[in-house]
Amino acid sequence: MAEDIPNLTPILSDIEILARLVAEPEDEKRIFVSPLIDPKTQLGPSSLDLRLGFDLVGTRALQATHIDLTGCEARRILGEQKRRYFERQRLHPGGNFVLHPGAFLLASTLEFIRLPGDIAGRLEGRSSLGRLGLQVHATAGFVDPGFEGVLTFELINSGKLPIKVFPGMRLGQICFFHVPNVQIRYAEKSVTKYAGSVGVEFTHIDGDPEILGQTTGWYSYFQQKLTFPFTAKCRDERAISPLATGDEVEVIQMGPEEECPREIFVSIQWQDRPLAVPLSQLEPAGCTDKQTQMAVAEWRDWVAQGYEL
Amino acid sequence: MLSPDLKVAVRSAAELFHRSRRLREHLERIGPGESGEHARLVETMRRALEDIEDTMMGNFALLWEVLPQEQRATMTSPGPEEDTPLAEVFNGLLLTLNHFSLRFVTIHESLVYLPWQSVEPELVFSLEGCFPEFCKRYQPSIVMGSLFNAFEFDFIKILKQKLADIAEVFSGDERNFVLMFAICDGLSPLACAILAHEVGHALDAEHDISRTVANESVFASNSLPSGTLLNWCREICADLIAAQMVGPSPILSLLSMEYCLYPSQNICQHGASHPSTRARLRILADDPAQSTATAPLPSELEVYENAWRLNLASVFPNDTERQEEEQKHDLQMENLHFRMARHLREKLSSLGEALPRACFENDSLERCKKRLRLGSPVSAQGDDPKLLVEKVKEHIRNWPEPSEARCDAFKNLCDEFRETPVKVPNILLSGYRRRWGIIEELYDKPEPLANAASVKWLCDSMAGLDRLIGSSIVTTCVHKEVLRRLETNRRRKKGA
Repeated sequence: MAEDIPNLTPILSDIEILARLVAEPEDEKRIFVSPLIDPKTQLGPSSLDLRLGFDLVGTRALQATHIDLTGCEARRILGEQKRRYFERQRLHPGGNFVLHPGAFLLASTLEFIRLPGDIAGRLEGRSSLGRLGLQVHATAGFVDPGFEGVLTFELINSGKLPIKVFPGMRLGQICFFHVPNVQIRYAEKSVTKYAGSVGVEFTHIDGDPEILGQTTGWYSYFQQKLTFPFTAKCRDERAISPLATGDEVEVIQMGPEEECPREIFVSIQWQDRPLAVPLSQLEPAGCTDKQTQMAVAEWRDWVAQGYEL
Repeated sequence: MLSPDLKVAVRSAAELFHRSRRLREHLERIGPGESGEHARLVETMRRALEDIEDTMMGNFALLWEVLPQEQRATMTSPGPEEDTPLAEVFNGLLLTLNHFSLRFVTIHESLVYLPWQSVEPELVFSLEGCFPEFCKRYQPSIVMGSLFNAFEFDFIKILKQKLADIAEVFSGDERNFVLMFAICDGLSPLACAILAHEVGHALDAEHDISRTVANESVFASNSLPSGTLLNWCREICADLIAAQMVGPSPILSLLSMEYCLYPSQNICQHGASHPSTRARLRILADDPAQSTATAPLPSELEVYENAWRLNLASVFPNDTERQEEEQKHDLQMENLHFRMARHLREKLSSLGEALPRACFENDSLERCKKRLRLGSPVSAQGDDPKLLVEKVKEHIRNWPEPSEARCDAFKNLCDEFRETPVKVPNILLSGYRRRWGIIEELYDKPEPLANAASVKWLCDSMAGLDRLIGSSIVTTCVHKEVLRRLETNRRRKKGA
């Protein structure tokens, strides 16, 4: 269906958006947006208006002096700060909230969106609200091809008077770009922090590999990403491990955390007992799930580049 | 493919794993407390759950090891005297299930020592969506409790029983319904469907249905202890009201809880307060007024019948006693419960629009289920995409050049893409259809629940489904509110 309309322009026009919206669920070019409450009003010449959802996350003052994105144990501290710094609120469907001058709030769109692999999106404000000083995104308005979930408004009132808004109000708009030849879609990235969310997600900056420069960070990351058990082959021999190149082993769980001060170990089944070996010497077999494969590959890259914990 | 007996064991363990994870999430939210005052208690409960989960996974791993793939479709429960490696492993698994169930119940009740969470908004919206009139009239209070069951009571009635002089404060017909709900289910909008049964009790009391039916002469000659007949009648009536207004979701929610209790409790007999769940399920599954859209109720009934039989065999190991008990159960079901249900249905249908019937369309539910499988919410639904695709194609063919007429045609075309809100009962039922799909996928896995990955898959799938259903319920309420605003403005404009 969508191929009936040639993509001559990088930004999708109204009829192109409509053609993509209406494509059948199996059509890989489909843009999924739901609920579409009033398309006649929401669809502009090259954009689609998005409404404010019911999920809000505000920030509260802390005793802490700063948010620590560096240094030792940053991930643990950041995790704790996140719990204390952000406060979630759910609005009643008929309710409203007041955004005070200078206030910063995260809010979700009412619409759940799924972009195909050849379409990127950009979230923008609406001109009428911009004239009141309402900004709907502070910095991150770009939506990757393959993204799915609700989008997040980063609301700031730059005006001098409080602004009262309500769930279901058209607050922003998204325009769509045709992006051919995408090799890795959002959902296929090794670290997808916000995929499939149905409400506002707190920041997952602590999931960034650069910030995970500590044992606990990487360790927790692999606890989440690796699905055990999986079969793997030894690619590199190491003096601290009995495995020889080509040995096939079953990886059963993470190695003990206290054994991982300088690198990540996993437990394998070895001669009727579990044995911890370096993850970097293993490569998952083809039948292992993609997420596990990608996480291991990421670690092998990290080690190959000479980084260590 | 698993045999019916294996399906029951896997199903029961799956429900326990899922609820155990919800309990652990609840404990995590409580955390150690401001000064570490809850730390020890939370840790004890968490470790008790983790320990039994590990044992359960180990038992399943052993079972799949000793039971060859080709025998799994036909395996029946070995008798207690059977002395084979398979019998030993399977009986060990049943014993662990029993311990898991006991631990689950005990820990749940111990939650009373810890802070309680507040009610999630989707629970309130879900009730308002299913029973708008009732909620407007009585504004029921919803309370999270430590019990693993849901129940309803009339708060003013209880106050009057305890404080005689309070009667002067409240007029005779005043009601104040309190719906109590289990803490760990508080975050599951699917589990909250059971509240519809409790609202059913309140509506029954309002219209005085079950008391009238229980007093009919046809039920007078029975040997039941006093009060039992009325209790059964009340329960069946609440089930029928909930099914009429919300569909099969409330009983499916009850069923998922029942699988957590079945390994450690007697569920095969009718109780003094409730008829057996088997009888209640069969009454709803046999309802002639229910459309074909009641799936997955018939499939659930099929598996549950086996769970009931296994429970009967464990409670009454003696063959003669077991047969007598089964006959007694069936006889009461035929002579009392089914008859009661017929009389209650007649009474309910005479009430007409006071208790409106929920409408379900199979196609629409299947589309919702498909969306849920893809990980999308189901708050709204438009026309069939096939029809819309044709309309867009036609528009492109008919209007190659810009013109005023093309603008009008495009506006009209856009209008056809409008989605309408999906009703809450339909969201819940499509959720249960998807849930049944997850259970069936679990049955088809090579070694279900034998390792952490398999359990994680199950719990993540269930939790993801709950999130989608919760979000769909609130989104549909916002959608309705926006439509109300648009309509109000349209009227105002027309009036002006």
